[in-house]
Amino acid sequence: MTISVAMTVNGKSVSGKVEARTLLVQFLREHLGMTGTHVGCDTSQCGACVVHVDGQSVKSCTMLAVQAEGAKVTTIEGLAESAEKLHPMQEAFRDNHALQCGFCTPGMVMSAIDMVKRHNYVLDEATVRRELEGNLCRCTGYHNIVKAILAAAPAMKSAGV
Amino acid sequence: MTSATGIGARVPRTEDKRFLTGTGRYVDDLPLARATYAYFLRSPHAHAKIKSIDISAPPCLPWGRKVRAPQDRTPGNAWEARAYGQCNRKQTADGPAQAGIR
Repeated sequence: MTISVAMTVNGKSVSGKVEARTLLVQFLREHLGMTGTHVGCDTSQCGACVVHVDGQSVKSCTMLAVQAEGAKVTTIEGLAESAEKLHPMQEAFRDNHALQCGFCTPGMVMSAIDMVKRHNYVLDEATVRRELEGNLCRCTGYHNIVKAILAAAPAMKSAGV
Repeated sequence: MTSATGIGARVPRTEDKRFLTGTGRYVDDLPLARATYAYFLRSPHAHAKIKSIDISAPPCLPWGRKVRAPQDRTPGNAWEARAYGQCNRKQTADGPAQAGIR
């Protein structure tokens, strides 16, 4: 049995017919072809699949596509204002060498933005490290990721994002 | 401090931009036409005897695709699953969404 689902992804209206069991991440990757959101573990542990649903970070492998019916979804592809102008969090990751292979990066960036907003743009190192418990990195190490998030917080505030 | 020779200079990585904007390409992202996916069904039990495996093809599998299971089982000798997550059946399908535990 297929179910019709419609939502807004990165400002664009999208729709599709999915099996009821289809996960949001499968809808994004396999139906819409948006492969920026990654599947690292399939078990809600690694955080590579984090997207924003109505402004809140969600592990998209933990949510059914039909649960996002009518929602506004933002993925890593929808963050940069333009090809030249990255989101301050993306800039901070680049400036601080907070990525190597880049596989965990989409989820890290999406979680980090939500983290900064929830803490009203004020973060300290211990808080960032604690908040990153739901995102695993297997190559860069967390040190530069933490540095990038701490640098991005004031940058996001002054950029008004 | 960067010397005039460039030794110790910071070299920005050219690959970072695509990784940061979701345009990197990983094996899982490649849309391979006519690709067959293997799915390894893993035991939900830590230690259990497998009495039988149903390998009848589900109706959604297209022609030529098969569900396979090890066939070297001797009569009266059940396979054993010895650890959580141990592979005990391989199923092929046309897409990741198709392969699944049924």
